[in-house]
Amino acid sequence: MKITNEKDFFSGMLFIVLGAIFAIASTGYEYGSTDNMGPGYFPLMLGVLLSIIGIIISTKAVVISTKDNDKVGAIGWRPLIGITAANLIFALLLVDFGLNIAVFVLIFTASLASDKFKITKSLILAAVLTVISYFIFCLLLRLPVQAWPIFITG
Amino acid sequence: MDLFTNLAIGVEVAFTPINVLYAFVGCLLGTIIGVLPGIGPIATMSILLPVTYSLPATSALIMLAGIYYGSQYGGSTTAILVNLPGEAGSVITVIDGHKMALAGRGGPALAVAAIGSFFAGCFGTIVLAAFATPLINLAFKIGPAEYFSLMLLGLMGAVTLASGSVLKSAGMVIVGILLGLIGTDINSGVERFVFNIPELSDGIGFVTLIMGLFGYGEIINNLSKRPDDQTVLVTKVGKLMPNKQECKLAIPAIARGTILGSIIGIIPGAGAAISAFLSYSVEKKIKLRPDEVPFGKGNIRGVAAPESANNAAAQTAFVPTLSLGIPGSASMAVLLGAMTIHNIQPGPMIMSNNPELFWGLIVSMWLGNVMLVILNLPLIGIWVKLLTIPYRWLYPAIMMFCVIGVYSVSNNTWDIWLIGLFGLVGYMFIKLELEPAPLLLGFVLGPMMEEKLRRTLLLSDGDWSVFVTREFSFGILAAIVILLIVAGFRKNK
Repeated sequence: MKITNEKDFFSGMLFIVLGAIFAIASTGYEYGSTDNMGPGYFPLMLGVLLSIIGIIISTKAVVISTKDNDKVGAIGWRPLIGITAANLIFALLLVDFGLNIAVFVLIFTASLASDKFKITKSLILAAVLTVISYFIFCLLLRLPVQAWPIFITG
Repeated sequence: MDLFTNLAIGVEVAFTPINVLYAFVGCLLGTIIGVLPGIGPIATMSILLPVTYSLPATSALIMLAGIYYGSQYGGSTTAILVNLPGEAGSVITVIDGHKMALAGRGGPALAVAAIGSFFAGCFGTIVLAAFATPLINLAFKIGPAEYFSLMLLGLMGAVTLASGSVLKSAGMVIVGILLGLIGTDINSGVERFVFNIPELSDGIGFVTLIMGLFGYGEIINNLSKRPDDQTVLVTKVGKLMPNKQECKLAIPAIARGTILGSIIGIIPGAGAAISAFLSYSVEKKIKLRPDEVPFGKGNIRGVAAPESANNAAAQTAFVPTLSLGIPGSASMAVLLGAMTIHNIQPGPMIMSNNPELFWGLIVSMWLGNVMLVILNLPLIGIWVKLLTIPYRWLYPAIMMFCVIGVYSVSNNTWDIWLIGLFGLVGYMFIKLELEPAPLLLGFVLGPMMEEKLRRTLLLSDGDWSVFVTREFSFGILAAIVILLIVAGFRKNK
């Protein structure tokens, strides 16, 4: 057995797993009957259908050979980790340290995701965007969000 | 009430100075963000959604509609000058538009795209105003079975007309529906798929989902591309005015594109992209004049027709969205989501409950089209400058708007965690060539479909045949079958 179309094969696998998760979880809810559907009826139907579609896609990806063998290709680890990390840090900082510090760190960390990263330029960008976000979100739109760290403003 | 009294109500609402201002700001912001490469209308609308929270509902929707058009216009500028379609609707514009730009005819290409879009937008607005009332009357008569069939038609339209594999799109629709079901079930009050996470009992936030899938996913993907994938930017636009011969070719093409687009746009599920695609193939069928540039080499008809068609369709796509509450495309789904955030229930009641909102929105759409022509053509130099901003400065700013925006919806850091997760998922989808747009449509329609299906089968005592014995429902299902057959032929070619 050889996978002739990687993208389709893994897409199918994804659908099979997701469909199975939803279908199995659906069995925990009341199924009801066709004329009086319970909360489990519709998702169970869809979960099973999704898994079937997944099986068809994956099978086709193994059986039918494609000319160019559609490979998934290299994964961009640097942007993947950089963007996700920036996001996580922002979530951790926002409530206790306030918007300004959280935005500054977010922009700087996110800049690391690009392979054209330069430290001074990124610091300037972070500073400029922090000021802009403070003006737009705190002064102009008055979002209910802490601007400065709570241990300073109290 | 006839059409003109209705439009008069709309004029009154849309032409108040404050709403004119919001329409203008919407168009401006939409164009600015839409011009930036790699950000399509869906991402643009979701990034700017939080800006509208503090506004009254009518102004907010007027502004969002402006953002929608603005980003579409902006998208065609990017398509022509950078060879990068900002959104699915301008994929086809790239073929001849960029060739024209390379040949030094970028100005006329942009002008024809803008004028064609303007003409199509005006025409589409009239169609929208004319069709809205009869469709809403129809909407009051149809039952849950018809609603279910219509939504199915919308989803099947999105699946079969999508550019990629039909099966994969179908899978994505189902994933979307299932994600939409997460949270408290309205019929039974049971919490489904919550897995003991209290934040999930209200379901997944709509804004969180789109920003993660469309915003973050795209950023990660753009950053991981190799530099040699990046395309040539044409900064020399030249004179805007098309010459005589170009006018002669473009005007009939604009008319054809407009009519085709207006018709296609009304069908739920078949949005701007497919109408652009169809009108391009129509143009290709028409015999070339002896002095005309062949298609694919920079033919002006290849810009005029699809650009008019996608804008006409963008306009008439509001017909099913506003009258039936069924979004015709992913961008319409975003607009529907915005309505619910502003506590407006989309659907037939909207016209009787909020006539000033409904007609005000329609008139302001026309106004928005006027503004866009004024904004786009004389200011083209500024848009070109925007195109030269390096991506490494842009994406951190996009991220900033996404996270703060998503936090402002719920004031809960949970949504920030979630947007990160959806970003990873979005990147995975891109890697696997799974289209996120059908997922979004399924996400919005899912809960509605379940409710209508339950109601239908409750009323028919569990008899499924009701979907084919009711005339109107049968008609819609027949249309789905035809759609599937046509799609089957197209794929086998």
